[in-house]
Amino acid sequence: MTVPTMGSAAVTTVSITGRTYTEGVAVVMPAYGEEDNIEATVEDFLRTLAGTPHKVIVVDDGSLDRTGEILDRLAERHPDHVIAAHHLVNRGYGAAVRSGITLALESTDLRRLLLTDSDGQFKAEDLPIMLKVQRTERADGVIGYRRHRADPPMRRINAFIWSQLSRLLLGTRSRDVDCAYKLLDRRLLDGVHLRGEAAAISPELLAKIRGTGTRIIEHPVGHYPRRHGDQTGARLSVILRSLVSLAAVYRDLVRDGRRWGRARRLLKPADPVLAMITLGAVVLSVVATVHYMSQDLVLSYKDAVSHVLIARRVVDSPTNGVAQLGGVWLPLPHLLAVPLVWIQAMYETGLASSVVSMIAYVVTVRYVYKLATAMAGLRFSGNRVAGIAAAAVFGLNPNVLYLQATPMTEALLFACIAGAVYHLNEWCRTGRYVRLAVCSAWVALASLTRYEGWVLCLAVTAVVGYTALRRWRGYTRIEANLIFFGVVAYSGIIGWLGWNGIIFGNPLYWQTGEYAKPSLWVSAGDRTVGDIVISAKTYLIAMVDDIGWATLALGFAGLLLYAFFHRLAAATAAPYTLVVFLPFYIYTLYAGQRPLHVTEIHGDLYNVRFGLVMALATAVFAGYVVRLAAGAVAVRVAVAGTVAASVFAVSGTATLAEPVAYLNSKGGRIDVGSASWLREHYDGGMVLMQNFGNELVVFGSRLPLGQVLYEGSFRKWEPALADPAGRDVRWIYMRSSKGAEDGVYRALYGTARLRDRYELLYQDADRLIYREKP
Amino acid sequence: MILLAESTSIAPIPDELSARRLLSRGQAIAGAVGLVLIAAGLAVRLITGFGPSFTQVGQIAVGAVTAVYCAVIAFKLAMVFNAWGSPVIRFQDGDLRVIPDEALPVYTVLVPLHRESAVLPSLIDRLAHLDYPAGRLQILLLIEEDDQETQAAMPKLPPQFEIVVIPHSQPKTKPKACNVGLRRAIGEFCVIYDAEDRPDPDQLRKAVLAFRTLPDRVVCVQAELQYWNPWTNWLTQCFAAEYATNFSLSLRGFDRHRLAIPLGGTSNHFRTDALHALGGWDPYNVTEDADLGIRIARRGWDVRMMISVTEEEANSRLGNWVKQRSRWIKGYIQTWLVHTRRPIKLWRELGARRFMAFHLTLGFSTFTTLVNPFFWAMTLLYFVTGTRYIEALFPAAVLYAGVVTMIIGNFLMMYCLMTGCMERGLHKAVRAMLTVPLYWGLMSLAAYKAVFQLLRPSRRHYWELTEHGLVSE
Repeated sequence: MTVPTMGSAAVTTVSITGRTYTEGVAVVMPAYGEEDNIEATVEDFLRTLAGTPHKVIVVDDGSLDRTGEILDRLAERHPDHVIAAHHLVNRGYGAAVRSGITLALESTDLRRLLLTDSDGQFKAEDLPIMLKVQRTERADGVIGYRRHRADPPMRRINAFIWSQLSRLLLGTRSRDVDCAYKLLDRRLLDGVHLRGEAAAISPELLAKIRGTGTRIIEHPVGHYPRRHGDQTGARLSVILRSLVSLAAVYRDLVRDGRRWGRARRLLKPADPVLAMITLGAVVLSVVATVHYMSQDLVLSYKDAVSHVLIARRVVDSPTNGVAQLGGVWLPLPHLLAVPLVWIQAMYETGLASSVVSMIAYVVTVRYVYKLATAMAGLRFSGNRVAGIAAAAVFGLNPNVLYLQATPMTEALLFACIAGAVYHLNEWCRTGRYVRLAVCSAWVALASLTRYEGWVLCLAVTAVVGYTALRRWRGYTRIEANLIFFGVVAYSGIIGWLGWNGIIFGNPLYWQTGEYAKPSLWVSAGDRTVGDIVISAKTYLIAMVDDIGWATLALGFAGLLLYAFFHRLAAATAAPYTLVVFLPFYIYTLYAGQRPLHVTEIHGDLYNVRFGLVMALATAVFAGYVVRLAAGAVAVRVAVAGTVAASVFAVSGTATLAEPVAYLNSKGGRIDVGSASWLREHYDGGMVLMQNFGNELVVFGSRLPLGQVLYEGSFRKWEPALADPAGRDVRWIYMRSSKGAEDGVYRALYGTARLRDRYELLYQDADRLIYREKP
Repeated sequence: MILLAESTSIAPIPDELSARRLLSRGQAIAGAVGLVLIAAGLAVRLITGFGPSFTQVGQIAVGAVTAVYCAVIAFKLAMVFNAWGSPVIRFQDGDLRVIPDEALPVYTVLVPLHRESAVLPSLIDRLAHLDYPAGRLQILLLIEEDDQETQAAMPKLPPQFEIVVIPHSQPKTKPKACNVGLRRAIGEFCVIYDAEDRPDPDQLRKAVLAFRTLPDRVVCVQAELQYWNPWTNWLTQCFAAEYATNFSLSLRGFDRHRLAIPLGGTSNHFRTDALHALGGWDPYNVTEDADLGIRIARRGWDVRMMISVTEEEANSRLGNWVKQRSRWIKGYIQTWLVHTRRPIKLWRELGARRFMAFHLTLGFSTFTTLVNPFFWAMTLLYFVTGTRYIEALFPAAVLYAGVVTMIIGNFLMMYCLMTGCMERGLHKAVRAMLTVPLYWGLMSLAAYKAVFQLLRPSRRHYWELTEHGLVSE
């Protein structure tokens, strides 16, 4: 019977060895200059272990005295139980222990190893107790600690420092690192490579046998004063060697990912190209943002200011709370900015939101690389070159770079789209449901970022249904996959309708509400409305403005190429979803849902950034062109270079030219003028001021938002309009533009309750600012 | 061969760790003192006007419950989504031949039976066809002394089978029968199968290989349970999805993080000597295996999950399902109470991570099942009447957390179940998961039944028998 595990990305399997071992102990001890102790110690163990299978393995570490000789005699006397090994020259404690362990593992099949010393300071009588503890506790290892240390004070101080050092470096948590009485299951030593010199061997062992769930128990053992000979451990040379070796062990642990695992994975990523691209994107993102900040251009768009205001009002407003997210703009960009926006500097510079865009930009560039690489085919050796070309085309686009420096929501949308399509592509390729789950999460995020995300949602649904149909045919599988995808992917849309229903009493408020109607933006005589040709032309020009004709042409060629090679195969249909925004926007313009102006047709720029969403499709398909260059590496790189270079054909930064033009227009100058006046003269108190249409003033005047009553101040706005003085309103701001008067003007202008209680302090072409009479 | 059970040789479980008594003296005192303090506080407020108001007490309670909800949901999600890509013990066919037949140890299979005459013939047939040398197999059919029905229906048995008659005594539970069986067990390893189980024929070989490969500290290997009848009706679809999520995802997450695994009733393979050392099963606990899982963890030993499937029959009748579920929940509460008698000792033995996981799995999960109806009722009441009495109970922070847990939390729990369906290939059940909140409602019903049984001493250790063989193949 096989168990289907469709989703588990990598179910690893435990290794199986058929080896069985004999229950018994191999006692391993190094010996150096122990002619007076060795015999008694070995005999002690032999006597104690008489009843169980055992071996005593002694490594004579090039002793200058008679140790080796005595040892050989012991081995002759007990040929079945004593194994003698000799280092011809002295190589130190660590090396001797290592030789002993290797010998024990290779020449015996005994299940357990006891690592101890031959100086007679430890006795064999503790071993049966240790064995019993190991058996009843089912421990992998029992590590002794000395009940009473029979050592001189200086040595004990050294030992203390040493064990703290091991603890710090290697993470050993034993109360007596150096106690030479360690009973270990030999399986703990499987695949463990030891290198420790001198005293470093003990902490090394403890550090390296410690794996997930390993059960190591500490148990007290007896320790007796030395009868004969000298301690070698306190010599300066030995201490130095131990320290150097400890550092080497530390390096091992780092190398094997047991210390600093995360940092190491970061430094040695699975795909170094991707890591370089990520790094490049981070640098570009920061440089671009610093550049635009220094030019004071980050908050040029009125919408950019609005996004920051909305996020800030969640934490700072007369009626703060999540309801301040409102019902027009989708909430995700603002929610993501909330964690930073309460910091005054982050709010004033707009960085709270820009940071979200910047991260999104880096994520997008990564996904563009990954998607283009996957599209070129994982078997095609040049696939990464294609990925790099695509990432460059997208990441170097000046419009992308500008928008990612601002609180505008495009950058976040691009990240969500790229993430969704990449994982969709992986699902189409592999059929693993985990990919579909991740894809649906990205789609849900996209649908909570901009309304284009809703279109993405429909497009991805179509691909999921289509791919499931082609792949599995049976209805059940199609339904299961659609539901599994849909419950998450559509949760954003359903949640938004529910939110609008609860907060505004109308699920479609975002589309038909007072501040959301298309008629607010689309002027009656717009040439695109009702004319499909002009609509298409307008959108194409916007695309050229944003992406550049050269890249567009390459992208179009790549699309044709891709369609030629893959047609509508189930495994490769995902990238087509990126193209869906083209017909969507043309239709939107045609239907008059959103306005888009380009100089060639309207004489001005308005929402020209709508064309930029096609940069994703253009980039990945342009990258696909590299697929053609199947020949030499040089050719491939040349093609990729050409594709990447096409981005330099983008003429200027249209997305920046548009808001700058507004700021320099009459309306923009008025906004700035009244904001500056208010900023200078505001001296505290509640302000009554409509937000819609006055965003630049609200923000530019630096009014404390907690003092600004606006149309989103639940249950406070209407009463304040009806009786401002009664509601403690001290300042009143209104816009009198003919035909576009704001709510405050319409409610109060010319009324007695304004005239009697307030005096006019500021007036320009169409703004009026009042303050309560003293 | 019919044997009467012999007297014990296993050290009994200390009373401290047994569910014989519902509460320890300390728990009873602590509980009583807590209740008295709350009552006294409210009384003082009522009489003198000092102290926290009723609203404040309500707010604190609601806040605490919301925190528990958040923790439980976060934990469940972490377990499910951590299972993706976690290492699992999985053997290939070739691996199984690593150990030759003559090197296989004696294996004891314990099969507690109670009024199972209906499924007896197919059970005997299945067990007789296990891929394990008959000479090394000891299959103990554990039958209650007064269960004439099963005894009468017993066919002629192959030699590896033995019948063990469980002498009549209280409590009359499956764990008591298993303990009697354990005393007779001669196998190096032993396993429990229920009467209607259909283990993979090579499961015993896999378990032996697992035990031979794994260190001694792993004393139990749990196979995965699946249902063979997910398509009987809506109930079995939900039940199957729940099992799929639990065994194919959640428990793998537990396994990965070495948390205490509450064992799943059947198909848990043990090292017999370890089971002896642990004192076998607690006869007073009605989810004795969950309890044993915790005791294993407290002892410092491990349970691992193994990929090998045992198929069971999913309960397809509502009444029967509620009975079974109420027993499970009753047992979970018993287990939680038993192990929290000395919380600091528990914490020392399990360590902080496993301690938290223990409470989240056994205590808090059950608790949320119990309070669910109250919160649903409050939500409904609020939407229907818009009363400010309910509004007053939710300060802003709690309201946000509460709404998020209610909407996103419930949604994600449903999504976890869908994930389980996708993992196991139960594609038809994905649709049924859209209505799974109804299933949770039934769980709350069962939870209340469990609580009422626990409160009545006569029903406290009562074993709600689940009827098997409701669905024929």
